[in-house]
Amino acid sequence: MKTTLLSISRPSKGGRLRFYPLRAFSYRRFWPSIFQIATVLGLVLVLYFAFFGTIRPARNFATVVTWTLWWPLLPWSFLFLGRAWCAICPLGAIGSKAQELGARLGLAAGRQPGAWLKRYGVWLMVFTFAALAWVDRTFSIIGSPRATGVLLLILMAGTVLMSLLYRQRAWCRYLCPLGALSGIYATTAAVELRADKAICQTCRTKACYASCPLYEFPQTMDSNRNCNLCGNCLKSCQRGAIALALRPPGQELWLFRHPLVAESALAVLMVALVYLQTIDMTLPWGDYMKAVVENTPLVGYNAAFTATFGAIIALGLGSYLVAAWVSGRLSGVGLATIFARFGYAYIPLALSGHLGHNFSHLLLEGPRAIQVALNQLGIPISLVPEALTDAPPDFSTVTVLTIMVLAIGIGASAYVLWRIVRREGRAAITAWPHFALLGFFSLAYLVMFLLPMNPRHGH
Amino acid sequence: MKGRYALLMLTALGVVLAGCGKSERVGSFPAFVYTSATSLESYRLAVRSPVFLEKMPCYCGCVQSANPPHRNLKECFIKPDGRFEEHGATCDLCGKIALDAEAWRKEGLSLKEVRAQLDAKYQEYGRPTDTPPVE
Repeated sequence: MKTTLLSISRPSKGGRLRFYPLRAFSYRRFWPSIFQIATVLGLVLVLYFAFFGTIRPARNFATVVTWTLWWPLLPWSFLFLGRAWCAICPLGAIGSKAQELGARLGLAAGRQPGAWLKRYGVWLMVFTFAALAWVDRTFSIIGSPRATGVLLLILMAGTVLMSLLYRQRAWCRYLCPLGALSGIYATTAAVELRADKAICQTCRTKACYASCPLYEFPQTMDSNRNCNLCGNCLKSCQRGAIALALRPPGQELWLFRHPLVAESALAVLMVALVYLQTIDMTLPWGDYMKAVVENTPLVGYNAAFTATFGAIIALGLGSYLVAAWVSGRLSGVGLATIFARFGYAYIPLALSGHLGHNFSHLLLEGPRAIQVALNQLGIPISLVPEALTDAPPDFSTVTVLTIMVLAIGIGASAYVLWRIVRREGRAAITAWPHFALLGFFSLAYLVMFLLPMNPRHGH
Repeated sequence: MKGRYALLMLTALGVVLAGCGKSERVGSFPAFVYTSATSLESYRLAVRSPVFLEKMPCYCGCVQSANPPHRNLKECFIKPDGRFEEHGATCDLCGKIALDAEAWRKEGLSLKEVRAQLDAKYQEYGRPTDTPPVE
């Protein structure tokens, strides 16, 4: 029997939750539509400024709102609210409207996702997310308002196309690069939406399944991976079988029953990507790249970066594969089973690294970004003196906060490993290769975050 | 299985394409230069075409913030005494301006036209360096 922090998982009479704030956001008709309207308006503004605003990324509404505010804040939302962002994502909302319009005009095919998409969808998300990370670093999308606008339009086109081809939100479930990230990070969330299976077994309508935009069936759902907390199932269930509950963050990481090889790989990939996206901001990165460019045939920076990008991902996934293999040999369990099961334990580490990485953006650039965004909208506000923009940033506070968050992440990952072993009744020795690998990854993160950062001046 | 092979092929293609840039090895630079593709390429350009960058202005504010104030785009990368200037590697604008200028020159624009293009594109950044106009 799993525990919840707050006993709101059992619906009271009429299926209403007793915990008012959660009830308000799960049953009310305005959720998520009113927030979708707000985010769509926000997206319109971002696109307008991306294409018609200043080319100065540090002074453009589109780049500061997208990359300095929204992107660093997003992982925090996963930790507290799971995939709730996906419910209010403007791209998803536009896709849904396109689908409705397409159905009226006879343009929407309304297909069910095929077996191929279901089978390889997660791998596609893994690939598109890694590809996006590479494209961003190689073409410096965050440093260009126009490129930011183009990226958003490409994502929007993908959402609309998939919405016209398939029913519900096939893009969000099987292709969205951000969906991959939000799916695995949502497993650490402090909230979960689950059904009372005893009640569900007596239900004949299964209206919840028909209403779920991500093709989930609440009766069998044991993970936040594909739940965006849109509340459709709550509203459609006549028996009050479904409820939103608070829980110890990350509890499902050792509880859920259907681990996937692709998601485990994605978790380890995230560890590698966070490392990559942080290490290239440190001072020693220049020494490393100098050595590569001057001593190998990789003459161009992007070629050297791409090779490093591939090598770090290969090192991360390869070392995890070795750990899984050793673990399998020690326990007599098949490699695929072990690979799929233990990868989730690295999610807290990846998330803490991600949050730590974003501290520098949020704390050092956030106030100025808010000021720029409001000024661009015609709201005169001054949070940061102009002269401070050229002053060298103070990294010490950021470093302390980062190390604190990272320590929590490392501890959480170790705890999840231990719980997985206990839960599955495996010998403790099964986990040792993973504890060793976790130690290696953690050390790499700690050293990296303690390295001096490369000062850059944005314009 | 085909799907996995397709992903592998795409990844390999990405690596190959990334290596197909027109970069060429031009001397050795201090480590601070190797922080981004824009930084490395612009320093290479500065070594290759110092006279060209000397005729181009910079709009990043180095006319006020640098000590001594920069007089042209070349000084964002190479100091008047010939040593490398770190500013061009830590500023995300100088490299963009230099590479834009080089791209326009390669398109066949005259120095005067390149200068005019730079002025048109970057004037919103503020005061440029006091670089004499191109004759």
